[in-house]
Amino acid sequence: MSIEVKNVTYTYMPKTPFERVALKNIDLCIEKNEFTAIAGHTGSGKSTLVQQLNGLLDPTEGEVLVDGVAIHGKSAQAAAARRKVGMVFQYPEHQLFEESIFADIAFGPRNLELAEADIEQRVKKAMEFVNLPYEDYKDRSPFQLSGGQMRRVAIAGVIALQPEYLILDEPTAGLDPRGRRDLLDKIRQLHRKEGIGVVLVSHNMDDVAELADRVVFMNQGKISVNAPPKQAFTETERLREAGLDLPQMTQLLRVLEEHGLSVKTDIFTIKEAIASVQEAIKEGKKC
Amino acid sequence: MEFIHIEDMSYVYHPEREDEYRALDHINLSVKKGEFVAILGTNGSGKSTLAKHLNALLLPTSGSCSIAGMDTKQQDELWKIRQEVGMVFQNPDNQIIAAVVEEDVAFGPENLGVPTEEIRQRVSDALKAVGMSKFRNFAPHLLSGGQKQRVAIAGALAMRTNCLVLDEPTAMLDPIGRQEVLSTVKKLHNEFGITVLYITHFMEEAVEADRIIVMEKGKICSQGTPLEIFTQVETMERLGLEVPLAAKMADSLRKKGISLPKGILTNEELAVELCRLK
Repeated sequence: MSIEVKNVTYTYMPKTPFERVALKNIDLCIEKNEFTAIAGHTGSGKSTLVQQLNGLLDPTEGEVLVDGVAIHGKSAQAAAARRKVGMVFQYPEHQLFEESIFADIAFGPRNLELAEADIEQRVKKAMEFVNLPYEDYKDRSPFQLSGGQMRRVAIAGVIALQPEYLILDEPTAGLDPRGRRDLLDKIRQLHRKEGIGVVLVSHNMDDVAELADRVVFMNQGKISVNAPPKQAFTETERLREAGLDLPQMTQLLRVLEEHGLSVKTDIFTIKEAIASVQEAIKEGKKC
Repeated sequence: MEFIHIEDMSYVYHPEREDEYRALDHINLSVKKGEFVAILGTNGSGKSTLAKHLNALLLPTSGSCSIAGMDTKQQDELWKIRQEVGMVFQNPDNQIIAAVVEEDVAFGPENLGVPTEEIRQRVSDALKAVGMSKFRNFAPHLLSGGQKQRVAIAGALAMRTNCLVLDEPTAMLDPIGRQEVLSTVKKLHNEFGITVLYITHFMEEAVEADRIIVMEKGKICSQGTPLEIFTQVETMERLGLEVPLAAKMADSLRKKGISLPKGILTNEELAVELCRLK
């Protein structure tokens, strides 16, 4: 089970003076059982790439397959394949529009022409998932919530469509540290417990290092690195070219290493780092 | 010299309605001219509401807010107050209005009726100060996020503003963009003595400030130097905030019985103290 991007090129405004090639011959396989992160600076092509994954943009050349089915064109098969891929845009709370939280989350399922009981079931489940108690919140206006809560409503709206794959574009931008942590835990659960294939687009390398099984760096419309985080974050030069930073933990551990403490530098959690520092102290320092 | 003076200020959204909400609750705050203050707090703690009082976008429901000696409730001082305090918001695309960078920067002074020659000078100075001179004839939509934010800052400088209030200016930016904006703000503070109020969720940016103010539920719950604030690891975490990673690591190591001194904020400091251990 995977999304396959096969030799995709995408050109904005072709055959005009504004023609710009945003993606160049991209090959990428997103496995459903892997948590994939896509990182790159503004204008690197990462948003253009993810919009190919559910047919919001059609490639100028090449094709995209979801679980083996090409998603382009008007056939029922292609439409069904596109529907497997849910997308949460940047600042999804700006897209809330209904009078109640229930109505907003139900909008997608309703368009699938489901029975009312099914819709209610899906809304309930989606709200539970994002930690918004159903009875307390269903009739409230989404516009009276805090930023973090609004974002959770918006994500619930996509989850209620029960996608097989979920793409999230900078889901934690502008959230406070606790809101960010809560949301990342939820996304991790979606992947691990519900088995949804997750693609996280982010320039927060700390989020990427902590969550992803596979990291894809984009630079100038091409993939410059496609590897597990431990390996990806050793590609310091590629990282710099892509306009990205090392995760904060990696930066910290490298400073310790430079000072002569023999710590591991390919670990990303506080717990692992503490253990490594304790060990380094025990072993004796060269500083 | 005191630049911002806020006394017992409260702000209530939708007063006397069912959805009445007290966003600021009896705030007292004094900011000196030339100070760099970072404001931290969770979403909904009142940071942005506070920021909007500083150039009279919002007026206190009770109490007072004065800028360079002018009470923001004085309608006839409004334009002077807005010249004193420039605002930069989170989303650069919402605050750029012209089709060419230099026209965007010139928009403020044009509206003040500043003579053309002087506008040219101000625009040049402002673009130079944020390091964007060579982009003066660019279309803003072709710029990166960090560059757009610097144009927004230049727009405020062209008003000869003495104070910049930045409300999460880096939240939408990639790492390079964040670095560009932060170093521009630091430069303006150091070289031109601009007073800065900087709202952020990035603790490593707040470390750069002279003073940190922490907000919770519409009140200022704590303030002090970065060192004073970020050594209170548990308090910050209880508030739903974080401390810089090196401070967090030092705290965790101490709990494991490693005797590190207080006051570690940077990676460098942590490394040096770890090396010093016997």
